[in-house]
Amino acid sequence: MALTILVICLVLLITACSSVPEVDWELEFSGDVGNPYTVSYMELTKMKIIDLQDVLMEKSVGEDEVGSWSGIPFKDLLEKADASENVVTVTAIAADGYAIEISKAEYESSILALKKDGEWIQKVDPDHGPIRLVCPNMPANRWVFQLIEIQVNEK
Amino acid sequence: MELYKRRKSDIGMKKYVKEFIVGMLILVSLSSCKYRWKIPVDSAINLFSINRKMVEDYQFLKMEDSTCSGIPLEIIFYQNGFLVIDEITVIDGENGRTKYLWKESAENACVTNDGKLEIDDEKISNPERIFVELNDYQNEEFSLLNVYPTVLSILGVEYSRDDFEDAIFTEPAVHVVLFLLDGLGAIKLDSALDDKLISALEDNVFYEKALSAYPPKTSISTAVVFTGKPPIENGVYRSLIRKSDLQTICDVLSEVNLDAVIVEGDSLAVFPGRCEVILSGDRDLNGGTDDNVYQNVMAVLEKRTPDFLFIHFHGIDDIGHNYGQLTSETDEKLKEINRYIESIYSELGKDTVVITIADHGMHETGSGKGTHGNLIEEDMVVFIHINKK
Repeated sequence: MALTILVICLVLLITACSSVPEVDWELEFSGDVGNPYTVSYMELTKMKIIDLQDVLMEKSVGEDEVGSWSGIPFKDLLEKADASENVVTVTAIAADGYAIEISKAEYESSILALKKDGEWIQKVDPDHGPIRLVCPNMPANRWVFQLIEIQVNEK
Repeated sequence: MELYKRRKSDIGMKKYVKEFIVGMLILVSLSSCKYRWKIPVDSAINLFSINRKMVEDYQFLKMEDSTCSGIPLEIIFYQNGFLVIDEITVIDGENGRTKYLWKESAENACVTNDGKLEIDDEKISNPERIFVELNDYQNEEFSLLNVYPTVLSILGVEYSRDDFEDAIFTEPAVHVVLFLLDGLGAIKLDSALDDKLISALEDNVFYEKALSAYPPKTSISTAVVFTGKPPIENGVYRSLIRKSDLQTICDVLSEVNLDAVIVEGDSLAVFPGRCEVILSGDRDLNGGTDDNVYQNVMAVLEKRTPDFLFIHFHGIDDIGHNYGQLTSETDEKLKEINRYIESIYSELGKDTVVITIADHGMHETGSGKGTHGNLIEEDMVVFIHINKK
């Protein structure tokens, strides 16, 4: 009997940890694009997700951070917005008003991360979630969390 | 007889209970001695004691990436009124008096939860007292808190004067242009003026040294400029906090229908409130954003001069971090920014007040680079320069 309860508890725990968190969050693609669109968090979780192992985040103070992240390739999301070849930068805007203009070279290998080290960001680090732009080997200020809008800029 | 025996046994039991209670009291008081500790701090302006409660209360001010297990000494010092420190002397039971030059030790000075000090990887188990030698700029009259009331006063905007520091220039004007020269501390500016590197700041109607805020970093200082309130009040007291809940200069101006434009580098240091924000990413991929900022400012001025125009040049800080400030690379950057300021200045019409400030200074690291973030003269002492067209 005790063993059954223990197994049930473990199953429930594992299910709770791996289930997609319910988050009311939207990300907008705007600016110089042929197809401006808005995508919800739940829609993002159903897209093709890739893993980036041992990604370095360059920090201006203290030690650089290395971690593993999972998310949607950023270029896939730009393609969906029908961004042209003339795009030079994107402006990433966060919910608290923070904004940064990121060059093509800096965002080219980036992903829109939903998970950190295999766990949903929203569950393990909600202050830096639910979605975060992960720009490998770039300074931390480009890793925008609480992302709500991507403005695409042509020259 | 039986009653006598029981009484005797009761007395014996009572004795044991009494001894047990006394023992427990001794144990509790011994452990509370370890729990309750204090380190007196002595300076020319203030006398207080660091204790466990203080270490616990200030935890929220600690940087996310701090390696200090308790709290950095600087946080305690700043919250108790120390603004610029030259050196500290620690008296402890084992080593007697040890002096620490704050410029060298500030980043690695920590007080632990159990009342020990850790300075420069050295553990001081029984600190008895700390003497703090303050820098002459501790008593500086002006600070970045003066910028907010000055901008509003010049533009003739009503604000609650009792709630803010004094305006330092009040002659009315139609436009205010505020240059923020990132990382240009007062020491570097003085030498740049001596070397004729920054002629745009030679003339003035007001020029004084001023204090930054702690930690002297761009987001913290910019929030002070935008809100007119110190970090602990405006809420932007450490990195990664990017927005204040207080009204900003932009918010106040928009309420009276004055337009405010912010021309930034590639990112916002802190959310400026209700105003037009123009980011200037490195679209020409030349490794810097100052030329992009300059071009965006000129594009704005071609159409109109906003009532309030904030211009943030980042390059001096970027170059300083990479090469140190006492280098030809930084001097070249100063000359470049000087050209931009002079060019922008020549585009401005009459009735414009131009205020130039820095957010923080910078000090050299051992490895020939620059950094900032400490309560030392190089990082904390900046300037306020005002000119009028």
